[in-house]
Amino acid sequence: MIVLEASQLRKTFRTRGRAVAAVRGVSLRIAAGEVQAFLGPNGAGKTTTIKMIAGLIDPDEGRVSVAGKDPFRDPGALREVGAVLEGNRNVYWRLTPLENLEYFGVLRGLSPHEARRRALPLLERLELADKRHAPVQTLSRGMQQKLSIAVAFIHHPKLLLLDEPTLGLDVEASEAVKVLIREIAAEGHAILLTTHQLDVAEELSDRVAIIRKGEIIAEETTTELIRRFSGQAYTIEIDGELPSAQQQVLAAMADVEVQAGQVTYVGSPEGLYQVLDLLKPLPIRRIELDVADLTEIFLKLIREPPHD
Amino acid sequence: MINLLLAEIKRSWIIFIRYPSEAVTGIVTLTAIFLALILGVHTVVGGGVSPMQFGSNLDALIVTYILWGMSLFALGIMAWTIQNEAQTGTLEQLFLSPYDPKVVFLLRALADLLVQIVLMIAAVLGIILLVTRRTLHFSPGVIPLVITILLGTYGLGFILAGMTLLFKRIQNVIQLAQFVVLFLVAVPVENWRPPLQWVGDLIPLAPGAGMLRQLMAPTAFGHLTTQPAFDPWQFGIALLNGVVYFTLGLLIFHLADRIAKARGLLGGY
Repeated sequence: MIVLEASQLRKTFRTRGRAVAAVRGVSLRIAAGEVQAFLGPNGAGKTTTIKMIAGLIDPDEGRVSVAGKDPFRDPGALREVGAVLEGNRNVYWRLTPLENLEYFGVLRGLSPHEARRRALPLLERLELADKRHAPVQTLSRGMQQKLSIAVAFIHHPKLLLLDEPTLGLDVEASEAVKVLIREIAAEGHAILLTTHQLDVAEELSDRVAIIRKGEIIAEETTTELIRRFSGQAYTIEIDGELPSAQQQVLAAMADVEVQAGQVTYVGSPEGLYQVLDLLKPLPIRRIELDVADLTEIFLKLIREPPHD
Repeated sequence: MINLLLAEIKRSWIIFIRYPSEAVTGIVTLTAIFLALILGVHTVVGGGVSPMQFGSNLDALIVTYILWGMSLFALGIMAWTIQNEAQTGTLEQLFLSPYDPKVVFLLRALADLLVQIVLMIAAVLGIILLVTRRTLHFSPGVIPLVITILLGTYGLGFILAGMTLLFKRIQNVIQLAQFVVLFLVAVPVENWRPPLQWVGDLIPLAPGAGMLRQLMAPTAFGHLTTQPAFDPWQFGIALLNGVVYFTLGLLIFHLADRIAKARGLLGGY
């Protein structure tokens, strides 16, 4: 089931007579249970897009549908949206975690009884139960961030928008947040995740969308994207010294690089056998297909000249 | 909606009791200002006059003071809320609600007024009555009049809140507006005759405040009146005045909300 359908979103901001096109025709679709990583450099239009989806910024063009409802025309659509926004506290520091969950639960449309009923197990799950009566300002950054996600999730929205949920967290807290995100997705909620920590995006996401200067430049499943950018470079480690005649033949090949004890070949699998033939009879210690990571792919894509 | 109002009252109450030093400071300040006013009047009238001899003038002073305190709070609370929530990074969460933002901010303002000001005024009033050894003559007719005044005040409050959404920091405007409100609740429109009276009926808060003074302290500020204690026609005008300014405030806030969302102005400042 498609939870989020944003199509052809456009937004231009005008400041001091200057028009800046922040988002130019962005479309996103996220199904239930899916985590979509939404990546892009600073100022690419990620936060503007997220805020348009959450109904906080009115798009100039395009439409948003969350579980079939438009957040701009039907305020009931916001029952299906939860958001943790980057750079914000998102919760009241003077209240305790339990009080925050109860308050925001009611603000999102739950009854006080239901908000309290959901709050306690949620705090248990986040290992915050023993801190439920401590003012939020006394909690660690990791605990505060877990609470922000819990507050965004208290009404069990179909769509959760997480803007930099692991930013500034230590390793342990970051792991806890990642586990929570995985669990929420596994329960059938759709998640749109923006982050600059590309290892986090690679670990958590089912799909990736990369935005540059307000336009989506790549949008596909994470595994397909990685596969598309991988599988072209092989590293072959050999034992012993390669005879100079073979070295010269290999070095003459355009897609081969020879180093001490190692040959790198970039090309098709068929061509790999030609290289292996040239390495005979030296023992081969290891052959490895170079798998691209999301960081390399991201950098490659955003540095590519734009296609007009 | 009642659930949200109760949640807002609970939230305001928790913050009020969790930081008692702020509450005590507020009560002490309000009481001190009032006692300073009494002392000032006492000095002007003459040292030999006891508070009892102020008679209705003291009643009127207490009524005007409390009304002014409530109006000041009701006027600025929504704008302060928006400014504070934006600074602490929770403003957008208030807009991520199936409730209309106008409802959220109105209920927040009502809860804050109920918990903080009513409680503070109760404490301040208690201290004042103890010190001056007077009892206020309280008529039930006062309550609908206070509602008309609060309606108008919240209307003006919504205008300031809308301005805060667009211009972010408007402390100076709020402070200026507080003096305007002091004028609006103190202007003696009940003594004006037509056609000036008709102009007075259009001034925000003034018809309700004038009627309230007549009801609670008819000889206040030296003007005697033989009017009945509760004039339904005059009350109708006061109510209409409150409803008109409340509606105007809602419309302006709605417009500001649309502009803020169109320009991407909602967020941390």
